[in-house]
Amino acid sequence: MAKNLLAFLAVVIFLFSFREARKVLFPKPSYFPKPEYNFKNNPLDSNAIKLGRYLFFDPVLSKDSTISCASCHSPFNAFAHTDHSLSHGINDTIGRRNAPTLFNLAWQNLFMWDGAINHLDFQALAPLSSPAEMGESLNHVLQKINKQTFYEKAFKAAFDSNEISGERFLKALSQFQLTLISANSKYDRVRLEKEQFTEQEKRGYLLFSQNCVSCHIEPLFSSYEFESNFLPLNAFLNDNGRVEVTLNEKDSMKFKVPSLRNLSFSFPYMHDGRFTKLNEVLNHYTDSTVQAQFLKSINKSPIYLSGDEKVDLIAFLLTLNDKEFVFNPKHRFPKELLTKTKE
Amino acid sequence: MRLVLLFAFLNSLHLTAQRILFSAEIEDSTIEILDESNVVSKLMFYVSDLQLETKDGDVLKMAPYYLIDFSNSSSLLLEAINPNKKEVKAIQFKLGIDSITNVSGAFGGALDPTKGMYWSWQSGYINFKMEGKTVNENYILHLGGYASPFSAVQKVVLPVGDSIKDILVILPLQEILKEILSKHTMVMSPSLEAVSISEKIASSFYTR
Repeated sequence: MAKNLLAFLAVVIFLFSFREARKVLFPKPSYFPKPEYNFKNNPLDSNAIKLGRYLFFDPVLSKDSTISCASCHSPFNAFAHTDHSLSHGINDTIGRRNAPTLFNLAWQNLFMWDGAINHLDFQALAPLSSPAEMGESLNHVLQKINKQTFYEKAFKAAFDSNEISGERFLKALSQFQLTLISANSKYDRVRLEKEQFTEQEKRGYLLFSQNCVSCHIEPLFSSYEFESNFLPLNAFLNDNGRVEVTLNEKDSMKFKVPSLRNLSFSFPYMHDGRFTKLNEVLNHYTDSTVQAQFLKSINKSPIYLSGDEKVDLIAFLLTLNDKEFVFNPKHRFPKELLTKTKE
Repeated sequence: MRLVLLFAFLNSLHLTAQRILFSAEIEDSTIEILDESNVVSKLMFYVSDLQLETKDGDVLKMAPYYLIDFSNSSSLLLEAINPNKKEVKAIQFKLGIDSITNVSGAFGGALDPTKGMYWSWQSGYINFKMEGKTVNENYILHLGGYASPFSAVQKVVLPVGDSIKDILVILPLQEILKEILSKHTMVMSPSLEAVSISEKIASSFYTR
């Protein structure tokens, strides 16, 4: 009897510790929705997260070992790329789109500005094999890292076996990226009643709620749907957005709604990075030609803002900056990678 | 002319464990084949949800995914899971990977993206891959697509005549090659074209 009870307790403690481990590795804020990512297929593990972080910062992922994921997704820019309006790949090639921020990825189903990627696990395959980004192939990257005892150990620690497969490589990258949770901005602290908005921020929040929230839904500040941003087509880039994936005309010039968190760190803005200042974005959305286009679309109304209102709105948007996230040492280049080169 | 590509050995005397053997044929050609080895240089496809229907109405499920690769003859031969040696009257499978699997993240084994059957620039498995050269043209078929209206996965149901012997599933390539020559030489993304070619391929399988 006592033995049975002990076994039962052991099982309970085991299950409980599993849940607790997930809470520590993935601290979901209480007011965030249920994540979209299915953790059952890829349970978080501190060693797999570590491995994912190594891979994220390792230029071995590119053909000439010059570009890592972090080259265009720098932690100090909320994992976007500030210096470039368009992504910058091997041999100084320039891509077609502005590298997006990476955070709160567990709440997203479709990735890239056009939603071409349907799961976080597969996201890395696209930049890895794009000739204008890393110019590599998954198989060749695996061949390269298979020869490195550094990765042999890291894979063994993460997956309890020496096998380096495409699945494990991609899942480790997902693990690291899933831990990139941005939820400690002033907005979040106000939400948790730890802080209060200033009068100006309050006015800005009201304007936000009247004009922006239908696409930039709280608390993630995006619906992660595809919407028209009413920017004219850049003939040189010829990027038609979502329609390139769905081949459905109604998706023409629609792009994934970006989150408004961490805007101060992640300029330039829009899918082609054409605006460097928030003011330019607001001026675009309140331009009379754009207002006319809003009027024509279903469920969207035009945005009218005075100069003062724009200032107030920006004051609110700046409360979405999450310094703790951007300067989190756990998100930076892992020093262990330096020991690898000495092998 | 009857050409069985990369023929894998069929042991018809082997009666104890029923096996399924995939094979591809080019029959009586109207296509002028310049170099037989190049007509089809690559042929790979996914077979998923493979099931055997027995005469007494049982359904025997096999592994959920197989990657049939004609450059690897051992991948053409599947051991049937039929412990009670029941008589089989039909075989059914999906040609390709279903939508749910397509949107459920990375998998290993036959589905590992290192197998060359996963697109990188846009998510999705390549259900069927065939490459080669006809009279004077290279052709590439990478058929896939999981989202409506471009869902390319196809269900195949085939009767099994002799229920004791190994089941030989044959894909006659003649029709496909004709189709390719007449209309499509390069199909490498989800489209209605990919769906209609997939339907054509799925309907041309037969058993012997």
